[in-house]
Amino acid sequence: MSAPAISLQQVSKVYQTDRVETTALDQINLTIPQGEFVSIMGPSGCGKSTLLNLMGLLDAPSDGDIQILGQQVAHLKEKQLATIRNLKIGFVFQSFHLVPDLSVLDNVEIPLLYRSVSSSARRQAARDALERVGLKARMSHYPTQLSGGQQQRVAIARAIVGQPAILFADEPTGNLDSQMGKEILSILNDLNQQSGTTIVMVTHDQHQAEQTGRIIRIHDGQMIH
Amino acid sequence: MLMHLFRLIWNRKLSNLLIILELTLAFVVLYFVSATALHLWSMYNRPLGFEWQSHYSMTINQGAEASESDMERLNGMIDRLEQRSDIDWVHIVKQALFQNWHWSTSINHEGDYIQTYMNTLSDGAAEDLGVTLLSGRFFNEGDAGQAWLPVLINRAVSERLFGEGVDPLGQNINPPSEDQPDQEQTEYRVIGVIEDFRQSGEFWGDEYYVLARFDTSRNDTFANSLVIRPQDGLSATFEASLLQEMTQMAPSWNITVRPLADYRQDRIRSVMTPIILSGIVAGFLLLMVAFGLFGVLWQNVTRRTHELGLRRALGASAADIFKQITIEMMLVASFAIVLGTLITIQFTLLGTFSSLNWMTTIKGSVLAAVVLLMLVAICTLYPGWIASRKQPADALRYE
Ligand SMILES: Nc1ncnc2c1ncn2[C@@H]1O[C@H](COP(=O)(O)OP(=O)(O)OP(=O)(O)O)[C@@H](O)[C@H]1O
Ligand SMILES: [Mg+2]
Repeated sequence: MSAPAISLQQVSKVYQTDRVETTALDQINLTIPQGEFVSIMGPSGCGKSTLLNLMGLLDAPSDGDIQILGQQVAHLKEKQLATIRNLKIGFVFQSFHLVPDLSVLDNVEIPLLYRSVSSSARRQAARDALERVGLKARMSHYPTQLSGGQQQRVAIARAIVGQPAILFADEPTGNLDSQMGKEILSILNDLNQQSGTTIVMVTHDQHQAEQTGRIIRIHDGQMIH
Repeated sequence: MLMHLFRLIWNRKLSNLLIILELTLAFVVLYFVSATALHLWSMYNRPLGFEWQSHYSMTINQGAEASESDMERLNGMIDRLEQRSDIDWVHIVKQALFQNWHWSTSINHEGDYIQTYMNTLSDGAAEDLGVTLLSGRFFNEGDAGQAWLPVLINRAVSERLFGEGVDPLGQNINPPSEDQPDQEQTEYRVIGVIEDFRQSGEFWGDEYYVLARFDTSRNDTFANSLVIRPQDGLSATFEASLLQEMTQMAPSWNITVRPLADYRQDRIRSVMTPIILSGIVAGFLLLMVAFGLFGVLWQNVTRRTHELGLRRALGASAADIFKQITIEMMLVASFAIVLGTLITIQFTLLGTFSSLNWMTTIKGSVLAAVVLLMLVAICTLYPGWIASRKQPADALRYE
């Protein structure tokens, strides 16, 4: 049996600001097998983004163990973490995070800049990814020239261009109307079913969450069973 | 990666243009500072062409009553000095060394005119002062009574007037002008080529120099300056006894005896003082430019914390980020260096500053470019390091 895509043991995250200590996550235990499509739900401020950031290796936990595809990450060097992020993980952010000074194609190719890929193969992969999200025609546009839904699809193309094993999506449809939301969700579903990509998605939309394999509910930094 | 960065720089041309302008300004300032420093340094390191370390300069002010017997009296004094057992030699160097006495004149060879500095030295002076002879010979008594005056020219004059193919020895310079036959001109004959004779010291910038023979047997001449070499080096007692003896021989003359080393010090000081002052001003200017640069580059990097965090989230390591920032800034700085060079070359082309020859220009540009790149590296790497140390999640939250 292959290792789980993600496994968390007693993971906590405490934010230290000037005087206040915020416990954003409190001893989370969670295992997500490879190929699963999981949604995370919970009220605002409960720690969903924090959880996603920890699983996506964008931040370090205050306590506990994280394993990605069977690999313990606690003692990995910065460089090794970057390699895992680059090769195994794709991330879609709630607020897109596109580089405004780069064209759509240039934005999408970014993850491949940090691999040894020839420039022509890189551009080809970026075009393919854009095709998958139905935006090939907009490749030389700039992010500001796109609608919100189009921008989010560019962000998805960028997340999948490197064919990651795991895709994290933090409220990918949060800023979009329901029609656009549906389209995004169907792209993610296809990805999960056709490529077997493990997907972890934060959402506020009960209806969307029900279309995924499992719903994880969080309240005040703790999982509710 | 490079193309990606090129597109990024190009798309940010407006903000990069400001940085490039700031860097260009810095380059031009750096260029002038380094070109000046290099020029001074190369002047300082060029051989003087004569020795001064253990010599005295004796200068004479005859006062109001200059008379025909002055030269006789001077010859008597030289005889007396030569008889002293504590003196190696005494020579006339008419334009005193390291002092503000200059004789500048125009000479020509076959109609090719140059303006040169000159000096007249008595027999033996050149060899005793350690002047380097490249070819020919020094002056001697046999040179007296000729229709022409024997001269030694320095390498620069030789190369300028005679070039590669012609042997300057025996050539006449400054012959009687044919279109103005009535104008009396002294004819000089080159009897030797010397390396150099930088009369006023290390910061003597002029290239051309000619030494003529001082004829002590003539009465219609005089020299106000002697160089004396004592046997046992410089000493206050020697100085005092010399002055006393000379003043006794010519009570009406105002005689000064002082080591050449002192005059040289004065000379260096008088050149260095304004240079140090302007160096301080240039230093402050550079400091301000450096601060400005630091501010601009720092802001440029922090403004991009978000982008850099995003790149890390997508798999760039801190080292990749570092590399990207460095390459980007080096590209931008190279633009500024090219632009700055186009500006600074104009000064050389127009000959605005005589000290800017092509060698100094090239060396100065290279030095300025190296310093600028180092400055840029320091000013970018530190904020870059700070930006890359942030957790990607923190950097992404940064607006
Ligand atoms: N960088 C930070 N510094 C301090 N506190 C933080 C930081 N990031 C998050 N928090 C706190 O941690 C808690 C969880 O935040 P998080 O962003 O994970 O919530 P969320 O569930 O994603 O909320 P939302 O649905 O509004 O996006 C909140 O109380 C928040 O104030
Ligand atoms: Mg959130």
